[in-house]
Amino acid sequence: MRRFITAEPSKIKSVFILMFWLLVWQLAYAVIGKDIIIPSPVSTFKALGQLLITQTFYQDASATMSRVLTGIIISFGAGLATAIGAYLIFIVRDMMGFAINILKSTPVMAVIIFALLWLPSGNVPIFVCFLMCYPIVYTNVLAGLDSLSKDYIEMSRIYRIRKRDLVKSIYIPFVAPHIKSALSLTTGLAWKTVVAAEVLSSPSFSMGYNLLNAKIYLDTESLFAWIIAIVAFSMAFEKIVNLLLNSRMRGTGL
Amino acid sequence: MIEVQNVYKKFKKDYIFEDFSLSFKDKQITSIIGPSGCGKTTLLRMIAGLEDYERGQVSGVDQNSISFVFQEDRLLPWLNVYKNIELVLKSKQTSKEANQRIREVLALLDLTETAEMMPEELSGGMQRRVAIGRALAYDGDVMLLDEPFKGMDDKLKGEIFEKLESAWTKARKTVILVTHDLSDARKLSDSIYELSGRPLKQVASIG
Repeated sequence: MRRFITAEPSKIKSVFILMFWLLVWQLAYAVIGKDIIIPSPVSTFKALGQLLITQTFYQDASATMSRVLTGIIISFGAGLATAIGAYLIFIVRDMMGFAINILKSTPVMAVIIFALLWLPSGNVPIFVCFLMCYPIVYTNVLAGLDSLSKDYIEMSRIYRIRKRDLVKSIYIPFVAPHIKSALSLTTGLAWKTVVAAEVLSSPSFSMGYNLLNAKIYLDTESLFAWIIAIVAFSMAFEKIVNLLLNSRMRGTGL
Repeated sequence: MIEVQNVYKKFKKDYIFEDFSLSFKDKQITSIIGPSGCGKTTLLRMIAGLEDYERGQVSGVDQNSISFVFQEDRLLPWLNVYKNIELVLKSKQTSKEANQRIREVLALLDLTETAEMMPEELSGGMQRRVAIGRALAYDGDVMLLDEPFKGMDDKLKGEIFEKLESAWTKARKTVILVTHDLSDARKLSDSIYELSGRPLKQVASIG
């Protein structure tokens, strides 16, 4: 009964919020009155419908998605490895701290321009995604390791707890919430940086390249349709990642 | 016999132990009493190898054979009672042996019903009993207890004393008990030493 009462209003609320913003969009379209500046919701969704029935849409979307995934995986691999190194070796912490501060304050555009000089166009978005996501992963994982209480380490020393049990039962449970938070922070960011880098590097299959094309040909309806598709993919991706993470966390009792 | 010989230990700039010596007989319960901050916990930590010292030596302790009840319970909040105890047994026992040992200890401390419960679901006194159970279950010759009865009322203390005595009679470990309460020490110990003064040089035997 309680489930019924709480679940239904939230769905109705979401529909109302969506309707409200569609109405604002429609009003903006009516006030401006120029399709080239802001297309109507109806024409945008028509353009989106047309996109969805083409084969290239799925090729572009899967290419972008694979870049996002690759960027995130590399960021996590490198972030975990270097954070563990920094936790264990003081000099690594100092060296990494300096590099991370530089990376955090470097504008995305500067990174993209450099990457364009160094790498093939298809790899530029992955590299940019890595450079933007990696500091977040590193910082979160290191914070998790640092938060590990000395009391537990002493307890494990006294009882000669095996290294693999120490990692499984003490280190991982301490760091897991920080990894989760890094993942939820980086998924949205990864989509934004990959698409931005695709716009500038224009790889043959990519959602970002289609954004650029739509802009060049002043095809605002397609531009809006691609933006909606990108946002939908990014949100769905984030939702799937959170669902997977929550089910994994439940399994560990965290 | 555990021997602390001519130990010097500094805290910041000052010595808290200066040429300090003390022996603990095997398979006996020895209590260390003294006011707060006099160095009782530091002494236990030096015996356990958790604290360095400037000079002197601690001998007669196999570092692989110590169990320790810390002032804080140090139970892992994401593991249930059974798994908290099992974790410290894995390095020395097969899972079958560990299972049998855990069941025995839980029964001894009246904790059988709590095996599947998480630490946060237990009262403070029960959490303390689990920490004591973990130390009892561990296959070691020396058990170090740092204020194990802190915060317990007399009734609970009485129950725990009983359990500890019966466990000790069975296992006959060398036990060093740190407490600030002389009456607790008197009830449980074969010998009692009092630490006082700063820096600590000598120790008085009071029973």
